[in-house]
Amino acid sequence: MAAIISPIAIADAPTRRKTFPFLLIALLLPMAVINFIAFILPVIRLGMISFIESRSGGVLTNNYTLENYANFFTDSFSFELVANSLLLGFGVTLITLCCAYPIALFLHRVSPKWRNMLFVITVSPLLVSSVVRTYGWMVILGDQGVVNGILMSSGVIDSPLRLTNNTLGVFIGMVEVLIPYMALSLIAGFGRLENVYEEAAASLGANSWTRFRRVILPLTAPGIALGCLLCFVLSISSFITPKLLGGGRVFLLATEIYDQAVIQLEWPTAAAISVIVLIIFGLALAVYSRVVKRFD
Amino acid sequence: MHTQELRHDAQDDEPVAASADDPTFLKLKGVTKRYGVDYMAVDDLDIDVPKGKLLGLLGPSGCGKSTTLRMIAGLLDITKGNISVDGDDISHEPPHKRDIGLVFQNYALFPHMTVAQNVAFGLEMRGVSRREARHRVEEALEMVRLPGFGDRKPKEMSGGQQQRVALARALVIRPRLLLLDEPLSNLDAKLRDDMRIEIREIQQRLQITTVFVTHDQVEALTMCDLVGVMHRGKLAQLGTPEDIYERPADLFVADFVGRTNVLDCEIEALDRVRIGASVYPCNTRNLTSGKAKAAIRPHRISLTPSRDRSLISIATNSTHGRVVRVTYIGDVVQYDVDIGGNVLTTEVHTASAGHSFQNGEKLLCEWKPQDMQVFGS
Amino acid sequence: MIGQMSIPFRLLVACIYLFLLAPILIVLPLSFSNDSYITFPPESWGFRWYGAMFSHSGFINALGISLTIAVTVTVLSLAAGVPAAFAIRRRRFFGRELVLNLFTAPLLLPSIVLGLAILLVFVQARLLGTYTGLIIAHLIITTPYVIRIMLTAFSTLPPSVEDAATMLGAAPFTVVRRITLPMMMPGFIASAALSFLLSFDEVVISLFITGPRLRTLPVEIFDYVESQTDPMTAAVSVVLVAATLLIIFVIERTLGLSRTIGK
Repeated sequence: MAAIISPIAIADAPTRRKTFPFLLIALLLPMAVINFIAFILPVIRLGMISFIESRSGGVLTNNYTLENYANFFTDSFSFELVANSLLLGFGVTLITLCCAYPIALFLHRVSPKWRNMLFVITVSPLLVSSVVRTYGWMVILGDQGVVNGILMSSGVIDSPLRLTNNTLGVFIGMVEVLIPYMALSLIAGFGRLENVYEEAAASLGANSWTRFRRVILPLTAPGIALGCLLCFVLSISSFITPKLLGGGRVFLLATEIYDQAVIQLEWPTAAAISVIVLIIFGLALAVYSRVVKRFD
Repeated sequence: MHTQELRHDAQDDEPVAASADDPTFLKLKGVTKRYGVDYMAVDDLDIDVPKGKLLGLLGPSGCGKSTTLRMIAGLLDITKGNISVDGDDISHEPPHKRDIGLVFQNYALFPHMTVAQNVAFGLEMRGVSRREARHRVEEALEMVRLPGFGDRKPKEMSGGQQQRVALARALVIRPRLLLLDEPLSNLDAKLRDDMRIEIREIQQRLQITTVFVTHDQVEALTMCDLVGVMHRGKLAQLGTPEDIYERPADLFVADFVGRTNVLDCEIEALDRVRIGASVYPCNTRNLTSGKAKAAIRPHRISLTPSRDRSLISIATNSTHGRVVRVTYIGDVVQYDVDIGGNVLTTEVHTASAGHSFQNGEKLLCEWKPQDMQVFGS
Repeated sequence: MIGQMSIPFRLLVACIYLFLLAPILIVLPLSFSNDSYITFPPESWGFRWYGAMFSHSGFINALGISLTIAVTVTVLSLAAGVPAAFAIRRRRFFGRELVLNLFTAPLLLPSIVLGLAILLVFVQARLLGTYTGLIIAHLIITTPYVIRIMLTAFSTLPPSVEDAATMLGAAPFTVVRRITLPMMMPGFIASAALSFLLSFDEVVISLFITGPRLRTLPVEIFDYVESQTDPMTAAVSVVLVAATLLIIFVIERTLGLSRTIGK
């Protein structure tokens, strides 16, 4: 899946005999239809609806307005949403990096015999439904869950710690959900790291901490940047984990989009928040590309 | 001896068909490959290869030799000109109908098939019966000295073995023409020498007309009946290995094939050039004046200690020099000799060397006038 | 000395792996609880919730719906994605880069935004709560992965093997059938497995467009988890994780997951 995250070069199509245009169209057509119906059209429609005036109860009119955005920017609750989402995004990204980096370094150095199996173990949580994984965290962190059960039966605490239905629970769950993505990005970026560089640094008198700081870290920086972008973006848009572990008490942009669209049926408002989320994405991408340029 | 007989048979078989005035089997006429508006990858190539001969296309990378090979194979369209084999114009024949065997640089064995399935593939495409195919595959594997390897997968074999499977796969279909695209470049030096001999032997035994693309002049000179030296999409020279080496057509060929000293010179007269302060007789090939380049092979220069002046002969060119570097290479010693402004690279066989020179030692360099080639610049 | 790892570092990595796998591992013991609510360790053990799961008509219906959709999506993903990847890798045409970016762009869009956007179009097209709607929506999730995997697969095809087959007399269609397709097999299997799992596990977009009568299994589980806190979800999870592990195991055994998806 590293191949899925990293960019693909396609410049090397071989020079061959002539291509028949109708064959080319036939090859691309099914994909183009899917892409148009389920991607291009919806995104255009989303943008349009974010400017449409709605009457109470979510009835759409034919009038275009900036009101949906104006409401968002004048409401203090909106700022809380943005601040919560951004803080959670930054915090989760940082902790995820701290957890995934040792895993990636370990996978890079472990003998090939073990590497394949450990790689599969690292990736496999991605293939387990996030609902199931979040449910697992509810079991572990709940009032009568594993952590509280152990702490109470050993007499450390008297009443259960509140680990779910708050930001802490969401935080823990999201870090776990995102570790595989971060680890994959890091592994993709670790390709440049070879033992010889460390050996060279050691022969020049660098101790292990200096080798990490001056050789390993700079060489793996592009992977770190990619992983941080991915995790930040995924945490801003994640919905299942905040919804279930937050128990309706953690308010984020993503949960608000769902509530407005599915519960309040206020589609224009939901569309406007979605556009704002996309703008935050654009900014994150811009920061990322500036950071990456520095490494090259 | 066996080879001799086979060759004899081949000639006896076709006394009439191969008419005396046109023995050409593979004919390239004005073959051109143009990319975009004006990039000529191959420019107006004319090559005739007689039946049963091995043509080497030699040149640096990007000279158009591989492009030429791919056009003969039909894997690339030709922009202009035509290609014929045994009198049939195949210029617009699709590649799978050309009946040409091609051995790729990376062998291109099918990784999902066994060796036997690889070799049998071409026979299967030709509708050869299973029984006959099995027989012919065995024969082909024996020919390349891999009997009993049929059940292996390509990746279980060494580079040299894969190479031989690729050769067997190309030859088992009894193609009209065999093409070899840098077949030895992925092998290590020792194996390369063995494969060179083996490929040449098989080619001569089967009397199959072959085109061999290489950037290695040793391969071209030792294996081929004919060598075409290519440079920037054009044919710089076509001739026997001896022609190419002894009578290079231009400075590029002289410099690319074998090692050569190239010196700036000025033409004094039809048979004399001036290099630095000295004048040397030589063949100036109709050039009568102006600046030119003179080329001398290192091993055609003989070295004599300065004190043995009596050895100087009127028939040779000679000049005084001083050794500036001695490099021991094993079978030869290379002396770089400063002859006053220019440095000549010379070689002396260690076995025949009566005298070994020291760094800084003065000596006399001599060469025959006909060993100095002059090219206009 | 270089490249060796100290004991504390190995312990740290072990702890992180434990953290990573904890939520998946914990549901196994919990699924054998006979309690009416989540407590750990359970006060009584048994198969009560496995029995309850198989007699819960909502889960059983949803499982059938999810399987139908996932199988259809897998087939259609390959049918649409493979030719597109082939065209992008093997043909030169104007706007090739743009087409690739467009086809893989849905990967970058947050699924909550994509779900809303699809809802807004499908509500007009009357596709909400229909098989057609769910399948099209899942295809936009799976096809970008199929295209990327197949692009990699096409580019790892050893150079000139197809030319070699041509020179041995194979016509273009024969080359595809005998050489290209068999060598693409690992890519096909990886694409199919990933498409199946992505569709089967998809929840965010499905939440927007499922209807009362057509709910996929993850949506059913999501609603159940949100409203009930009993160990039945653990039993469902164990079955799902076991099925997923089985698929991963088979692929790893036959192809090597890390080779087909990883590099």
